[in-house]
Order: sequence, then structure tokens, then C-alpha cells
Amino acid sequence: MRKYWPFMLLFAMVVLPLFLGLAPNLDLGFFSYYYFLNLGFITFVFVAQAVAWNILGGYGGQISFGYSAFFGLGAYTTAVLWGMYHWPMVLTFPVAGLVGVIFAIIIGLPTFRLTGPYFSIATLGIGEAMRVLMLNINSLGGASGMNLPTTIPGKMWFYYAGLILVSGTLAVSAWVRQSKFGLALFALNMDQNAAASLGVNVALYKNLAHMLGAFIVGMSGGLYATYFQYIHPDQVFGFQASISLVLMPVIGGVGTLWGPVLGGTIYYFLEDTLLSSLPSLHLLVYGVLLVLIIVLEPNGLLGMAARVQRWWRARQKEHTVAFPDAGKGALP
Amino acid sequence: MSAPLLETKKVSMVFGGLVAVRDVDMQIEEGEIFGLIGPNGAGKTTLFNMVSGVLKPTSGRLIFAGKDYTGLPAHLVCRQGIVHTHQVVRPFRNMTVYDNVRVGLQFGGREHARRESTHDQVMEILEYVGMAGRAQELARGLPIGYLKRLEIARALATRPRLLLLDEVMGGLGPTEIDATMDLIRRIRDSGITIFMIEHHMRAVMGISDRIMVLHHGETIALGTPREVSQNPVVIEAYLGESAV
Repeated sequence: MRKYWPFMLLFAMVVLPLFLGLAPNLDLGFFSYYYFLNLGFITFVFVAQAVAWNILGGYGGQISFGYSAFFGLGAYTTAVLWGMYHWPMVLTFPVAGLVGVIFAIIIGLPTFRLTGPYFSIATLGIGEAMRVLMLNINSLGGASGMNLPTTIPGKMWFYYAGLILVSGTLAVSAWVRQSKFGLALFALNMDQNAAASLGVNVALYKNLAHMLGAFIVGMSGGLYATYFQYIHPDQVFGFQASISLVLMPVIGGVGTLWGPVLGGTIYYFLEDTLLSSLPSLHLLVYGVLLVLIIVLEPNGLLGMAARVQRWWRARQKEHTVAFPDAGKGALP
Repeated sequence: MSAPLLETKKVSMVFGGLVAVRDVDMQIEEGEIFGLIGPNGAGKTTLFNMVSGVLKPTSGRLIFAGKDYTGLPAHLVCRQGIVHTHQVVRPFRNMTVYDNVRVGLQFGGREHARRESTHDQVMEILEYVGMAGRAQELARGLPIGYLKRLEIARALATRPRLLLLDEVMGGLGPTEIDATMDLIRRIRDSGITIFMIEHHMRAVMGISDRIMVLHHGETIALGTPREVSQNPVVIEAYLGESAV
């Protein structure tokens, strides 16, 4: 049973819209069919990115704040190829991913010479540099952004496209975890020099993980651009896009398979609520949240769940095993 | 006599203005246990780090099995067949003992070791060092004696030709030291050449075929344990001039 629940979850995600689609005009005030499809698509895209970030950031322990560059480049690649060169829409997604990969190699070569916090600091400026660059390239819309064609498939199509992206990403992440590649990432995460002295090509595996993450985030950028039909440098290259990619796995449980899924799902709900209720303070809330999690439970919600489970088991044991005869018999 | 397995030609390492190792010439023959001793700060670990590729020598050449490998990065040095353990243990703390060994098997050593890594191979190595019963424990929970053994197990998993042991006796009790000496002899008898730094005199004198003494980065003596321990220059370096 334990083993099959991911497939049951996937099955539920596949049939839920079909079921709800029986009554597409049903409106419960806060919930409707179209709201569900919209929420589903956006959550899938965010979660796919969080899972992709987690390969290098979680398994490999290399915390990068530069992933919005891949997201934005993917979005712009799709916008250019589809909007300006009239490529078939679906074909632009893998190209968007590949542009991300090329950029990952370019920034990986210098930044991976740094380790620990120095690497993270070096990646801070990458998204921002791309944002400023794109604001000034007028042939790509510059500061007015870019419009994409409006001839897009329906919401149902996007829902399933997002579902395919997130399932594929999770499958890749699960494969990495148990592969030789994953073993190298875990080893270099825990002790880079010890890993190298045992023959692990540290630079190679860091770059591979970075490229893999960039491919997925680039594709998701392309998909996102087609859905919203309009992109702007501030939005796709914004610092918040990078921060949210770090926050999602951290909330859920960094370095675990399902942590980023949990974190990404919660994050999107949180953002939706916070943006409408505390529009000017929502970044502060993230900051406080990040500090609290790192101080109190570095393994995120999954770590917290494991702690509760251990506590519960210990409690059960105390009651059933420690004094099996307690309460029986009479006092002398 | 055949060519030495490892040869250093006038290797030096300079950190800023400090000469840590100066013009060391050394030859280690295949199949021997070669001890390296010297007072604290003599440059022993620096010499080790150069041989294992962690540090690139400021000058001089390193030759392994007739091949010059000076400047090769650490992971490629390991794949040539040179592996080292760390003076301060550096296990992959959140991995099981089993996976720690698997890293060495999968990535280290010469070609054949990288092609296949099976459960049997991991367990064989763990049994060899006497840790099979702890295979599924997390490294972070092990006592120091086992962590030292894990360092050796991981290194052996790379199927080395030359094993560099940096103070594997440090922090061990007398019975553990005897067991480790026995283990080192067994490793040598299986065909692996040993190059070891050791502070524990009984151990290093007891198992080394030859010993080199380093002082202020320079070789001051080289010979059998008996020759070295009677050498007045060595006694002076260790105990001070008045002792001579």
C-alpha cells in the first residue's frame, strides 16, 4: 500500500478534472471547475520547478538563488520561437529547456569553483543581471514585455501538460535518488573533499545536476509563458521567482523526494492568500518563515512529521512495553 | 630491482612564505609498509596531500608506477590507484556505512572497479574490516574506532595499489591498536602497498619495513625501524639537543 500511493495520487489528479467536468458551471463561491484547473496548472508548474531545484540544491547541497534565469530564458525562448518565428508551440518547450541548459553551463563553470555559502552568494546576482539585460533589449520588448499569441489550447490542456511535467520531473528525481548520480550528489553534499578523494568527479556531477534542473525549469518557463500570454522581465527574471524556488523545498523538506512537492503546494496557496490579504508585507512573511524553518526544523515539514511520528511511537511504546504489568494485580 | 611504485622527485610545498615540505626525494617499493614519522608540523600531512593530489606541489615531480602524475586532480589520482584516509575522520555522516563504502566502489579505483558494484562486494569489504554487522547504521552514530575503520573500508573499496593511512591509530585503545596493526598487515599481504603516517611509535616501529623521518619539511633519516630509532639526528629532533 505504501509503495503505491504516488500512483494513486497521480490517478486522482488525472481523473479529478474529468469528474468535476461533469458539472463545469458549478460554482461554490470559492471553488469552481475553472478555478481548479487554473490552480492545478500553476501548482504543477511551481512544484515541478521546486523538484528540479532540489536535485542540485537538496541532494547536492548547492543552494542556488539563480534559477529565475532559467525560468525567464525559457519563457523568452518560447515567446520568440512561437510568437516571432511561428514554430509549433509544443516544439518550443524542449528548446526552452536546452537554452536553460546552455546558460547553466555558462554560469556553472565559474560559480562551481566556489563552495558553500560563497556559491550561493555568487548566484544571487544572476537572475537580477538577466532582468536588467532583458529590460534593455528593445527587440525583445524591453521594458514593455512581450505578448504571446492568444491561439492557445484550453485550460484542460494546460492542466494535463502541467501534470505530465510534474510527474516526469518527479520520476527523474526519484531515479536520481537511487542512482550512481545521486550517490555522487549526496557524497559531495556531505563532504566534497572526501568525495573527490574517493574518485568522485565533483565538478562533473554538480554541473550535470545544474543542467538537469535548468532543463526542467526552462521548459516550465516556456509553458508558463504560453499560459499567461504575456511576459515581462520583472516577473520572469524577478528575484522573487528565485527566492520562491528555494523556499518551496525548504518549507517541505530539502533533499527529500516529496518535500518539494509538499512545500510547493503549500507555497502556492500561501502566496495566493498572502498576495491578496497582505500585498505589501508578503515578502516579510516569507523571510520570517524561512528563518523559523531553518532555525527550528531544517528538514522542513517532512522533518517535523518524522519528529511527530517518532514521538508518537515512543509514547505508544511507553504505554505498552515499558511496564507491561503495570496496573495488574493488587497492592500488597 | 624493479622500479618503485611511488617516487617523489624533489617535491616542495610552499604556503606563502612558509616552506612546509622541501625537496623530498622518496621511493616506495611495491608491497612494503612505508612509515612516515616526524614531530608535529614537520610536513607529513602536506606530503600526503601532495601524493594524493589534494595539493599540487609548488615544485618537483610525482611518479606512480612509472607515470608522472604531478598536478592530476584528486579524483583522477584515486582512479590511478592511490587512495588516502583522513587524519580527522571525514565520513559521509548522513549515509549508512554501506553507502559510504559504495561511494568508493562506484567511483574510485581503476577501471574494473567502476564497472560493477554489487552487494557482495560491499559486504566483502565490510567483513574484511570487521564492520559487516553495522552496514545499515548511519555513519554519524558510530564510535571513533569504527569511524577510523570506515575510512579504511571506503579507501579499500576503491581497490587501490597504494593506500595512504594518516594516523589511523590516533584515539584508539591498546587492543584496537593491535587489531588495526593486524588489519594493516593483512591489507599489505593482499598486495596493497602501504604508506602511513603514525605517531604511535610501538605501532609504526612494529609493522613498517622502512621508515622516513621528516623534520621542518626535510628528510632527516630513512631506514629500517631499528636504524631510524638509533639515529642521533632523529633522537635530537624528537627529544631536543640535550638528550643526545
